[in-house]
Amino acid sequence: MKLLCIRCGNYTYFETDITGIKEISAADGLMTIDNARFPDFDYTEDTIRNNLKDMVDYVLKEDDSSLVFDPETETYYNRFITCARCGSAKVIKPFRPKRRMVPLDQELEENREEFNALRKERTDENSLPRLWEP
Amino acid sequence: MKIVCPACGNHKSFLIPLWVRCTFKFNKDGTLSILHVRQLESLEDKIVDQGKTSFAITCKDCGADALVTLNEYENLDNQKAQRAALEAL
Repeated sequence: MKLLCIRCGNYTYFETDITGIKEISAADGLMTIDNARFPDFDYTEDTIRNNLKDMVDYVLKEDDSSLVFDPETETYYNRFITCARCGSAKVIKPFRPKRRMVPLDQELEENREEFNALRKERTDENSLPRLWEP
Repeated sequence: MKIVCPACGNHKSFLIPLWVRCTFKFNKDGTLSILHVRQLESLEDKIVDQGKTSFAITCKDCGADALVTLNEYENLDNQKAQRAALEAL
Protein backbone atom coordinates (compact mmCIF):
# COMPACT_ATOMS: atom_id res chain seq x y z
CA MET A 1 0.00 0.00 0.00
CA LYS A 2 1.64 3.23 -1.16
CA LEU A 3 -1.19 5.77 -1.04
CA LEU A 4 -4.43 5.76 0.91
CA CYS A 5 -7.65 7.74 0.61
CA ILE A 6 -8.63 8.49 4.20
CA ARG A 7 -12.24 9.15 3.16
CA CYS A 8 -13.15 5.84 1.52
CA GLY A 9 -10.19 3.60 2.30
CA ASN A 10 -9.22 3.07 -1.34
CA TYR A 11 -5.54 2.29 -1.83
CA THR A 12 -5.55 1.14 -5.45
CA TYR A 13 -7.23 3.60 -7.86
CA PHE A 14 -6.20 7.25 -8.12
CA GLU A 15 -6.27 10.18 -10.55
CA THR A 16 -3.78 12.87 -11.38
CA ASP A 17 -3.33 15.67 -13.92
CA ILE A 18 -0.26 15.52 -16.12
CA THR A 19 0.86 16.97 -19.44
CA GLY A 20 0.74 14.89 -22.59
CA ILE A 21 1.90 15.63 -26.12
CA LYS A 22 -0.21 15.36 -29.27
CA GLU A 23 0.69 15.85 -32.90
CA ILE A 24 -1.11 18.16 -35.30
CA SER A 25 -0.74 17.10 -38.91
CA ALA A 26 -1.84 19.38 -41.72
CA ALA A 27 -2.29 17.93 -45.18
CA ASP A 28 -4.60 18.69 -48.11
CA GLY A 29 -6.40 21.39 -46.14
CA LEU A 30 -7.25 18.98 -43.33
CA MET A 31 -5.92 19.08 -39.82
CA THR A 32 -5.67 15.84 -37.87
CA ILE A 33 -4.76 15.26 -34.23
CA ASP A 34 -2.99 12.03 -33.41
CA ASN A 35 -0.29 10.54 -31.22
CA ALA A 36 3.17 11.96 -31.90
CA ARG A 37 5.08 9.09 -33.42
CA PHE A 38 8.76 8.99 -34.25
CA PRO A 39 10.34 6.12 -36.19
CA ASP A 40 11.35 4.19 -33.07
CA PHE A 41 8.84 5.18 -30.39
CA ASP A 42 5.51 6.77 -29.59
CA TYR A 43 6.30 10.12 -27.99
CA THR A 44 2.74 10.64 -26.67
CA GLU A 45 2.60 7.34 -24.81
CA ASP A 46 6.12 7.76 -23.56
CA THR A 47 5.40 11.23 -22.18
CA ILE A 48 2.23 10.13 -20.39
CA ARG A 49 3.89 7.11 -18.78
CA ASN A 50 6.99 9.04 -17.72
CA ASN A 51 5.05 12.03 -16.38
CA LEU A 52 2.72 9.78 -14.42
CA LYS A 53 5.63 7.90 -12.90
CA ASP A 54 7.41 11.17 -12.06
CA MET A 55 4.28 12.55 -10.40
CA VAL A 56 3.68 9.45 -8.28
CA ASP A 57 7.35 9.24 -7.30
CA TYR A 58 7.33 12.92 -6.34
CA VAL A 59 4.23 12.55 -4.16
CA LEU A 60 5.64 9.45 -2.49
CA LYS A 61 8.99 11.09 -1.83
CA GLU A 62 7.94 14.66 -1.01
CA ASP A 63 4.97 13.75 1.09
CA ASP A 64 4.96 16.96 3.16
CA SER A 65 5.17 19.37 0.25
CA SER A 66 2.40 17.63 -1.69
CA LEU A 67 -0.06 18.00 1.19
CA VAL A 68 -1.94 21.22 1.98
CA PHE A 69 -3.57 21.80 5.35
CA ASP A 70 -7.10 23.20 5.25
CA PRO A 71 -7.76 25.02 8.57
CA GLU A 72 -11.57 25.00 8.11
CA THR A 73 -11.92 21.24 7.92
CA GLU A 74 -8.66 20.63 9.77
CA THR A 75 -7.59 17.98 7.29
CA TYR A 76 -4.80 17.57 4.78
CA TYR A 77 -5.42 17.61 1.03
CA ASN A 78 -3.19 16.24 -1.64
CA ARG A 79 -2.41 18.88 -4.27
CA PHE A 80 -1.68 16.42 -7.06
CA ILE A 81 -3.46 13.11 -6.60
CA THR A 82 -7.13 12.43 -5.93
CA CYS A 83 -9.04 9.26 -5.19
CA ALA A 84 -10.61 7.72 -8.31
CA ARG A 85 -13.40 6.08 -6.29
CA CYS A 86 -14.82 8.97 -4.25
CA GLY A 87 -13.08 11.96 -5.86
CA SER A 88 -11.67 13.14 -2.56
CA ALA A 89 -8.26 14.81 -2.36
CA LYS A 90 -7.63 13.39 1.10
CA VAL A 91 -4.97 11.10 -0.25
CA ILE A 92 -1.96 10.53 1.97
CA LYS A 93 0.84 8.09 2.46
CA PRO A 94 -0.29 5.49 4.98
CA PHE A 95 1.28 5.82 8.39
CA ARG A 96 3.94 3.23 9.08
CA PRO A 97 5.64 2.92 12.46
CA LYS A 98 9.36 3.49 12.09
CA ARG A 99 11.47 0.39 11.94
CA ARG A 100 13.73 0.09 14.94
CA MET A 101 17.10 1.24 13.74
CA VAL A 102 20.22 -0.69 14.66
CA PRO A 103 23.12 1.60 15.64
CA LEU A 104 25.59 2.01 12.79
CA ASP A 105 28.55 0.72 14.83
CA GLN A 106 26.68 -2.48 15.61
CA GLU A 107 25.70 -2.96 11.98
CA LEU A 108 29.31 -2.45 10.83
CA GLU A 109 30.53 -4.93 13.41
CA GLU A 110 27.97 -7.52 12.30
CA ASN A 111 29.01 -7.15 8.66
CA ARG A 112 32.77 -6.99 9.26
CA GLU A 113 33.52 -10.54 8.09
CA GLU A 114 31.51 -10.12 4.94
CA PHE A 115 33.33 -6.88 4.15
CA ASN A 116 36.73 -8.47 4.78
CA ALA A 117 35.84 -11.29 2.42
CA LEU A 118 34.84 -8.76 -0.19
CA ARG A 119 38.10 -6.83 0.16
CA LYS A 120 40.09 -10.07 0.12
CA GLU A 121 38.59 -10.91 -3.26
CA ARG A 122 39.92 -7.67 -4.63
CA THR A 123 43.44 -8.06 -3.16
CA ASP A 124 43.69 -11.70 -4.25
CA GLU A 125 42.78 -10.69 -7.73
CA ASN A 126 46.05 -8.73 -7.96
CA SER A 127 48.19 -11.48 -6.48
CA LEU A 128 47.22 -14.50 -8.49
CA PRO A 129 49.79 -17.29 -8.65
CA ARG A 130 52.30 -16.79 -11.45
CA LEU A 131 51.98 -19.72 -13.80
CA TRP A 132 54.68 -18.85 -16.28
CA GLU A 133 57.46 -16.36 -16.75
CA PRO A 134 58.23 -14.58 -20.00
CA MET B 1 -6.01 28.50 -40.89
CA LYS B 2 -2.33 27.92 -41.50
CA ILE B 3 0.42 26.69 -39.19
CA VAL B 4 4.00 27.25 -40.27
CA CYS B 5 7.35 26.92 -38.55
CA PRO B 6 9.20 30.22 -39.14
CA ALA B 7 12.55 28.56 -38.44
CA CYS B 8 12.56 25.61 -40.83
CA GLY B 9 9.48 26.17 -43.00
CA ASN B 10 7.76 22.95 -41.93
CA HIS B 11 4.00 23.18 -42.42
CA LYS B 12 2.98 19.55 -41.90
CA SER B 13 3.56 18.25 -38.39
CA PHE B 14 3.60 20.02 -35.04
CA LEU B 15 3.56 19.04 -31.39
CA ILE B 16 1.07 20.44 -28.92
CA PRO B 17 1.20 19.90 -25.14
CA LEU B 18 -2.14 19.16 -23.51
CA TRP B 19 -3.12 18.59 -19.89
CA VAL B 20 -4.74 15.21 -19.37
CA ARG B 21 -6.36 13.56 -16.36
CA CYS B 22 -4.91 10.13 -15.88
CA THR B 23 -6.66 7.40 -13.89
CA PHE B 24 -4.24 4.78 -12.70
CA LYS B 25 -3.90 1.91 -10.27
CA PHE B 26 -1.16 0.43 -8.17
CA ASN B 27 -0.47 -3.20 -9.06
CA LYS B 28 0.47 -5.73 -6.43
CA ASP B 29 4.07 -5.76 -7.62
CA GLY B 30 4.32 -1.98 -7.12
CA THR B 31 4.07 -1.01 -10.80
CA LEU B 32 1.51 1.41 -12.24
CA SER B 33 -1.20 0.62 -14.77
CA ILE B 34 -3.04 3.36 -16.64
CA LEU B 35 -6.80 2.82 -16.75
CA HIS B 36 -8.03 5.93 -18.52
CA VAL B 37 -6.73 9.17 -20.01
CA ARG B 38 -9.06 12.12 -20.42
CA GLN B 39 -8.19 15.33 -22.22
CA LEU B 40 -8.69 18.44 -20.09
CA GLU B 41 -7.99 21.22 -22.56
CA SER B 42 -9.70 22.30 -25.73
CA LEU B 43 -7.55 22.07 -28.82
CA GLU B 44 -9.30 25.03 -30.43
CA ASP B 45 -8.52 27.27 -27.44
CA LYS B 46 -4.96 26.09 -27.45
CA ILE B 47 -4.47 26.91 -31.12
CA VAL B 48 -6.12 30.34 -30.76
CA ASP B 49 -3.95 31.10 -27.71
CA GLN B 50 -0.75 30.34 -29.61
CA GLY B 51 1.83 32.99 -28.75
CA LYS B 52 0.04 34.05 -25.56
CA THR B 53 1.05 31.17 -23.31
CA SER B 54 4.30 29.38 -22.64
CA PHE B 55 2.73 26.02 -23.54
CA ALA B 56 3.00 26.59 -27.26
CA ILE B 57 2.65 24.58 -30.43
CA THR B 58 6.14 23.61 -31.56
CA CYS B 59 7.59 22.27 -34.77
CA LYS B 60 8.07 18.51 -34.74
CA ASP B 61 11.28 18.75 -36.77
CA CYS B 62 13.21 21.61 -35.15
CA GLY B 63 11.31 22.40 -31.91
CA ALA B 64 10.78 26.10 -32.65
CA ASP B 65 7.50 27.84 -31.80
CA ALA B 66 5.04 27.59 -34.66
CA LEU B 67 3.31 30.55 -36.24
CA VAL B 68 -0.48 30.22 -36.46
CA THR B 69 -2.36 32.32 -38.99
CA LEU B 70 -6.06 32.00 -38.28
CA ASN B 71 -7.29 33.76 -41.44
CA GLU B 72 -4.65 33.71 -44.11
CA TYR B 73 -6.92 35.58 -46.57
CA GLU B 74 -7.44 38.50 -44.19
CA ASN B 75 -4.79 40.65 -45.90
CA LEU B 76 -6.18 39.84 -49.34
CA ASP B 77 -9.66 40.88 -48.21
CA ASN B 78 -8.28 44.16 -46.87
CA GLN B 79 -6.49 44.87 -50.13
CA LYS B 80 -9.64 44.10 -52.10
CA ALA B 81 -11.70 46.38 -49.90
CA GLN B 82 -9.16 49.22 -50.25
CA ARG B 83 -9.05 48.78 -54.02
CA ALA B 84 -12.84 48.78 -54.24
CA ALA B 85 -12.99 51.93 -52.13
CA LEU B 86 -10.46 53.68 -54.38
CA GLU B 87 -12.33 52.61 -57.52
CA ALA B 88 -15.57 53.92 -56.07
CA LEU B 89 -13.95 57.28 -55.46
